[in-house]
Amino acid sequence: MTYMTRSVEELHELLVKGEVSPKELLDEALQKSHEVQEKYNAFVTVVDGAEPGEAGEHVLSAIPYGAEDVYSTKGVLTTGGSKALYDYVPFFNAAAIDRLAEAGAVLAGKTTMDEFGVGDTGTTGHNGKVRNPWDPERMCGGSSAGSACAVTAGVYPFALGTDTGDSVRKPAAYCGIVGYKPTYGMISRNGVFAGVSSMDHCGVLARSVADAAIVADTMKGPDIDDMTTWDTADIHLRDALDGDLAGKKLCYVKELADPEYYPAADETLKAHLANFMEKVEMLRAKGIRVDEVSVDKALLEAVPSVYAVIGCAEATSNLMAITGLIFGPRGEGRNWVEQFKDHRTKGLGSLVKRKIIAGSYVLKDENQERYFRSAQRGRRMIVDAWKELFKAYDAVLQPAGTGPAKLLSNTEETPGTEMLEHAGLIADFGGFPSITIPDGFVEGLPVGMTITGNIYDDETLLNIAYGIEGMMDYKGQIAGEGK
Amino acid sequence: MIMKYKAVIGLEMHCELKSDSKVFSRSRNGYSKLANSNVCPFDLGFPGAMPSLNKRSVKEAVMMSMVLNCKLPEYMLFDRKHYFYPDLPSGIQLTQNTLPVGVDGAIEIECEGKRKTVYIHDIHLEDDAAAMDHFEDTSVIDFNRSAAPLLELVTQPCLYSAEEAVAFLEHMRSAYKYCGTSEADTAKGQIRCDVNVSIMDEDATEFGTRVEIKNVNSFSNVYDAIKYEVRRQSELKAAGRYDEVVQETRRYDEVSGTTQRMRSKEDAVDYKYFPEPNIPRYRLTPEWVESIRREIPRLALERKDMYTGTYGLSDYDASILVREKEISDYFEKCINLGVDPKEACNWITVNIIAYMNKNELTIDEIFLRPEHLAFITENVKKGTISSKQAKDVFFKVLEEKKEPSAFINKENAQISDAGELEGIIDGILAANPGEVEKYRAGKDKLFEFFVGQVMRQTRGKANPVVTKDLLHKKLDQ
Amino acid sequence: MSNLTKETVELFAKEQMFEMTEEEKQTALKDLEAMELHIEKINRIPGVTTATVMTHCLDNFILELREDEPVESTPIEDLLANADEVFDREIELPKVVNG
Repeated sequence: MTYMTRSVEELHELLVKGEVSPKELLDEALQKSHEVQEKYNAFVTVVDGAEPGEAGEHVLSAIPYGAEDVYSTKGVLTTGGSKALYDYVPFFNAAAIDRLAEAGAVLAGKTTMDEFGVGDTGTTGHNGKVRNPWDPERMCGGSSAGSACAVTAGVYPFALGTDTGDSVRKPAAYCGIVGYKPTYGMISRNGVFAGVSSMDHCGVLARSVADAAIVADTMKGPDIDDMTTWDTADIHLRDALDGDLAGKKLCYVKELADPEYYPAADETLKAHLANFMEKVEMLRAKGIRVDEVSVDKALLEAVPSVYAVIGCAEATSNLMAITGLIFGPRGEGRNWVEQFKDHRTKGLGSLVKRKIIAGSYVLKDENQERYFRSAQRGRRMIVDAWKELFKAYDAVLQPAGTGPAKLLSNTEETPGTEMLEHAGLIADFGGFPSITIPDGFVEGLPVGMTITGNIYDDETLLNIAYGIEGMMDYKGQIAGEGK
Repeated sequence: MIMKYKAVIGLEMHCELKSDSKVFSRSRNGYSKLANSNVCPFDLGFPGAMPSLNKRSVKEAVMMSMVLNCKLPEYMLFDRKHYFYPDLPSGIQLTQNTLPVGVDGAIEIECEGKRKTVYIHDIHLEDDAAAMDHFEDTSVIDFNRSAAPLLELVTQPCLYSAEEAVAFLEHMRSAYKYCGTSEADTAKGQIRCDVNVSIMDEDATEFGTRVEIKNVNSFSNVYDAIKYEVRRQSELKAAGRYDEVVQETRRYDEVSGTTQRMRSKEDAVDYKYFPEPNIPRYRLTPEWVESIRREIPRLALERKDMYTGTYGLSDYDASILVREKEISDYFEKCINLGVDPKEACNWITVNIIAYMNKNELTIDEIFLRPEHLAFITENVKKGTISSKQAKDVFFKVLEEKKEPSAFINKENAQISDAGELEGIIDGILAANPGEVEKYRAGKDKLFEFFVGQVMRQTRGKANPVVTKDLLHKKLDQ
Repeated sequence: MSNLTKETVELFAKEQMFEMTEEEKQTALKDLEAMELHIEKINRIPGVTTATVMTHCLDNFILELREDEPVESTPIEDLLANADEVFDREIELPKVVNG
């Protein structure tokens, strides 16, 4: 009997009825973890010593799950995907982990990520690249690669990730599962290693919108130690899911969907866009209004640039603490300068170093106006344009990225497709809640649709996603299980 | 001593704020002998730790901003300041570069008897670094102080002597203590100063080269450092070697009494200031600001002016009374209870302070309250006791910690009743007819003899004023 | 910034306290040059030069600050558990000379 491929609510029912025990679930998860690790390298740590939970009232009780190795876990190695922290064991839990623990969920693994959240391929972490269970020659995307991999491989029904540059949702699309990034500040980031502080979000990878809603419901809420959190008492995500889309006004941006904007598109991209429009027609056929709107191309083309500048700047700032003085291996040297240098030279990966050089450059006092602040202005304009859309619409739909997972051997972007590839970043810029759900297959590989809503409007957003999910056949799909 | 140049000084004064928890974290704020006993993940820069702003620190910052008559911003905004150093584990100091809690202020101080306005560039709230201890080959780091609240104020370069600089620092120390926002104890290292010194020709319009002296930790060192630096720069300028005065950072060496180079402008750190994304803007509502303003007590200089002006006290005495807010409050309480200001001043400056010092007590700790003092002085006024007796009662109250009424009773009460005294006087005059005659004949000195006799007979309890009055009446017929 | 060279990269690396391989420096240099293209794209947004800088993700103001209540200190064993060089209750390092 396989259990870990089922939904949270199903498992809860089985547990409560006594048809399966917490230990059985945990054992299955751990065994699967090791298999998945062998094949796909999804884990930094499999928590073999985890205690099975107890089946209680909470729907997440006794359910094993994994967390991206950027969430501080007390007593369990947390590396942030970096060699600089290869031996760091936190003495406290991230707030989100505490909330899941209070609910009775069982932390069973720490998953592979891109180093310090920098990167979108799932290949730059210190323990190597994560392979996609749908096609091991392909990536899972990043930074939450391992979490997406574990969920689509059926190790757990959900895993935690962080979405800073589309880094929960893109891996979800590549792995044919659900990736949810709530409104900024809905889930406390206390204890989660900071990447780009003004864009970091705690997110959930799951195989259904309902499961993602349940997990977010459990983790959300104000935290005295995270000043960006806010009162979520009036938000009930799972309860809001009734799938009723009557009267909802949806739209898509033609610059992100129409092949005319992508003359260099290959067959794969064309198929991906065609699939998206098919789903739009499906919605229209059911009487749901989906308008086509237009957004100034200049805004959309600037999105990856805004991210490049702000991302490297804030990452540089957050990485100042990586010195080996108090945690991580102490560098060698006769004085603190030599020791810091040795630790950072040996511990930080190439991509991270590149980002820090760029970050120092754009933050240099005399350069800031031209680079950093310009990017911050660009961000404002892009976010304002999206806020305009939400005055008239409940959600914006778009194809997730440029299609299926890229090959590990060729991670380069196709020139002329950057606008679409990185459109998911807009939700990170403005803190808009956003969710990617699987919406089909291209050349045998899963692809997704990203749905974004207005800030604080997570209930509406998830319900729309739930409704759309219900009209398609991809809910709960597991990699390799005949689809 | 070369005095032909004008010295121009600007001060940066860092003051540790008083609060139970730190400014950006919830660990305890306060001194501890035990290293690393007031700490939490944020203080050590552990990955994932986030800042949590303390309302009390903001309140204290706003209060001091208003004390300095600065312009308040619409909201609080914090910036990250970046540099690598072992005492700053996260590599980020949180400060206010973009929008300080106070800008463009001015405050009147007194220096060597004269009033002077000191202009304030800004005051801002930031957090402190950890403390290091140095041994022969190693250093150790204690993070108790890490993330503790600091208020930094920056003056305009408008101080023109070491005396003015120290007078300003003294004034601010008093203001901090009066407001209760800081203990402001230099001995505890709660105040650190950076001093900017330059010189210029008397008639010049442009400032000279500015030298920064960092981390001067006592007011006397500030004084000495300025004196030394002004002389050093003046000597070089007078000798035609002014180009050897470069814009640099120096430190004051207490042992040699000199300043030494630390680093030059070329080694200047690029701080990469940008607003802290993890602390959203905090609006300073007019209501809250007003309520804070109402809590600002009258400060020392204002009180001193009232004591010298309205009460006619000497500058010297008034200065003693305002040295501590508790003493000043005590004095004012006495006045409110009807004690004559000059008397109250006398009791406090002569007797109370001496008693406090001898017994190492604060004025709020001694048993004698303003009410007791008022009671005593009231009885002297009424004539129930003499001033000499008052002093006895005063000390008895202090020592035995009993109400003064316990010591003022019929037994030792002063005899002020004219009728009673007249009877005694008549008796003495009758018993000493010879002396009466000699006095009336012109031997004025004998008056004291009669006073003495009355005192002897009443065992010192006769009211001297009434006695002398009656004696004159009877003798000078 | 038209005079970007390998030395520029090396200066930033020095300031950020790490060393890079020659290959890494070359890639970093290309990244710096690419910054110009990024700024160009941003500047093509109509009206961007007068937009307000976006410093935080959400524009909300905090309404309440936390009260001044301290929490218990982290136990010393936990605090120093990941430190390689410790002396008694403190982090130890080679003597820091004033500078």
